[in-house]
Amino acid sequence: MNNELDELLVREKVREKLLYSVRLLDSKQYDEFIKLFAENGRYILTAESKEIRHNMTWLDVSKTELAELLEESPKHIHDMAERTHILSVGDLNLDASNTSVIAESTFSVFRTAIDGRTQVYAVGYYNDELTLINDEWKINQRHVKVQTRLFKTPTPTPL
Amino acid sequence: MHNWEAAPNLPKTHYVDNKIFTDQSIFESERENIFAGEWKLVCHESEISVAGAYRTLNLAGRPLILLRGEDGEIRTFFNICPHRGAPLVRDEAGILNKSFQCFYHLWSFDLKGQCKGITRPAGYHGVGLSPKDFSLRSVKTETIGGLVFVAINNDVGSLSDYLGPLSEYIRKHLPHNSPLEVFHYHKAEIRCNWKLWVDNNAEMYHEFLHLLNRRTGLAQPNYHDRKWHLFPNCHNVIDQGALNYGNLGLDNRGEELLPGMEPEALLVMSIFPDVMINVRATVMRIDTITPLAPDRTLVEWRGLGLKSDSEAQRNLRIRHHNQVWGPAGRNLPEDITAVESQQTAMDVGAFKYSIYAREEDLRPQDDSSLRAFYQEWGKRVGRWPHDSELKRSTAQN
Repeated sequence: MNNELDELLVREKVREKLLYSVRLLDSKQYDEFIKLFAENGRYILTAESKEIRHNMTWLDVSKTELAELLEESPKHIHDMAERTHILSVGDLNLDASNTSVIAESTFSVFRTAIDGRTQVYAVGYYNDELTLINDEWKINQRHVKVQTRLFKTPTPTPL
Repeated sequence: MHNWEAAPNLPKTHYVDNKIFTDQSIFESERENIFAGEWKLVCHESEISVAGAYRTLNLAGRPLILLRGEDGEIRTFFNICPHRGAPLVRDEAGILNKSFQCFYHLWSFDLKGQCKGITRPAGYHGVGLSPKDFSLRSVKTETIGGLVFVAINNDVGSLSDYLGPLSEYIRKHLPHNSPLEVFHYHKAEIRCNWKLWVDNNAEMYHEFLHLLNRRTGLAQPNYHDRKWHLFPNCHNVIDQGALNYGNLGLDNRGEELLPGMEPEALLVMSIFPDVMINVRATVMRIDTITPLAPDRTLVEWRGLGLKSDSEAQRNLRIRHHNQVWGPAGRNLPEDITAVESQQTAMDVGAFKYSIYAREEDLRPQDDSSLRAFYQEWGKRVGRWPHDSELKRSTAQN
C-alpha cells in the first residue's frame, strides 16, 4: 500500500513539475525555466516533414546553450504576442526506484496577438526524461515533437 | 518637410509606388507574366531521389506534380486527370509504384504520364476512345546543380540561357560531382506581398535589424569591400565575405566547407524572381516564394548539406543551420516582423512610396540589386515601378 502511495505522490510531483514548466514559459520566467533542467540537460525540437519525407531537428541545445539563447532573446526584435500552453500529461513511466521517469504529454500553444486575437500557434508532444536529484525532479531531456509545420510567426523561444 | 503624398524627388528608378504591393490586378499580372511566364525553381532533386518519388506544388495557381521516372528523368505534369479534372495525387510527397491512379474513376497512368488503363473501357468503344488517346499535360523541366526548374510557358528559352552567367556560380557551389541534399524544410505563410520578401532577401542594409548580423558581420573590417554582380534577367550574386560567429558565441565555420566556400564566409545568390541561395560556409539555405494574394505569401525554406555527409558532418551542418535559420533560428522572426509591419502601412495607404536610393558603387548596402529587380519586374508586367498606373509599351522595354 505504501509503495502505491509513494508512486502516486511521485507521479503527482512530476505532473506538477511539467505543468509548472509551461507556466514559466508563458510568463517568460526563463531563468526559472532553465533551473528545471539538470546540469547536463538538453532541449530538442524536432518535426517530421511530409514534403521531404525526413525527420528534422530544428533545435538541439544543451542547458547552457538554451540559457544563452533565452538570455539573448530580449536583444532580438521579438514577437510581441502572448503565449498560453495547454499541457495534458499522459503516460508517466517510472523506474523501479521511483527516481527517474519518462513522461509523454501532448501540448497546444495559443498565441494572443497584441490586438487581442487568439489563434492556435502549435500543437505536438513532449517526451520528458526526468531524474530525482537531491530530492528535486530535474529535466534531463525535453524532446518536443511538433506537429505544426506552418507557423504564423517562428521563434527561437522554446515551445 | 517630407511630403508624404508626393513622389520623392529622386530619379524614377530610385523609388517605387507602393500600390505594386497591394493591387489585386497587378498581383494577377505578376502571377501570369512572371511566375507562369518564366523558369521557376521548385525543388531540389534530392527530394525525389528514387524512381517513383514525387512532389506536388502549386505554381501560379496551377497544381503540378514532379516525379522521377524509372529512367531517372524528372518530369513535371499538371496534377489533373485528363478525364474529369480530379487531382492524381493528393499529398505533398511520396513514392509511386510504377504507376498512379486517379482516385475518382480509377484511370491509371505510368510515370511518363501516359494513360495505361481506363476503368470499364468497353463503354468508350463506341466512340473510339482508348488509353493511348490520353496523357498528362506535361510541363518543361530542367535541372542545374540539382536544382529543379519548371516553366509553364512552353515558349521560354533554355534554362541555361535564362540563368546566363549565374550558371557558373551554381555549378561551382552545387557541383555535379559533389551533390547536395536537402535535410531541412519548413514553410510559413507571411502576411506581406511577395516582393517584400524578395526585398528582405536581396538587400543588406537591413542587416542592422539582426543582432546576429550586427555582431558577426557588420563589424567585420572587410564587410563593405564586397561587391554585387548583376546579371541579365536580374539574377545576382554578392562576393563572399568572412564573418565572425564567435562574436555571438556561435560555432566558427572553418571546416567542413561546402563546395567553393571560403572559411567563415557568407555568399548570397539570387535568381529572378523569387529565389535566394544563401551559403554560410558549411550549410546552404534556399528560399522560394509562392504568391498567394497581394498581401499573403508562402515562403519555403530548405537547408542543404552534402549528400556524402557522414552522420557527424550532417549533424554539424544541421547545428550550424539552426543557429541562424529555421523556425527556431535567430533571424527569421525578425525578418517576418519587418515585412509584415511594412505591409500594414501599405495596406492602409499611409505610406505611398518606398525608397531604393542607396548608391555605394555596388557594395553590399547599395540598392542597385533592388533597383534592377524592380526594373525587370516592370518590364515583365508592363508597368512602371515608380507609377503603377502608368502602363509601359513593349517599345519602352
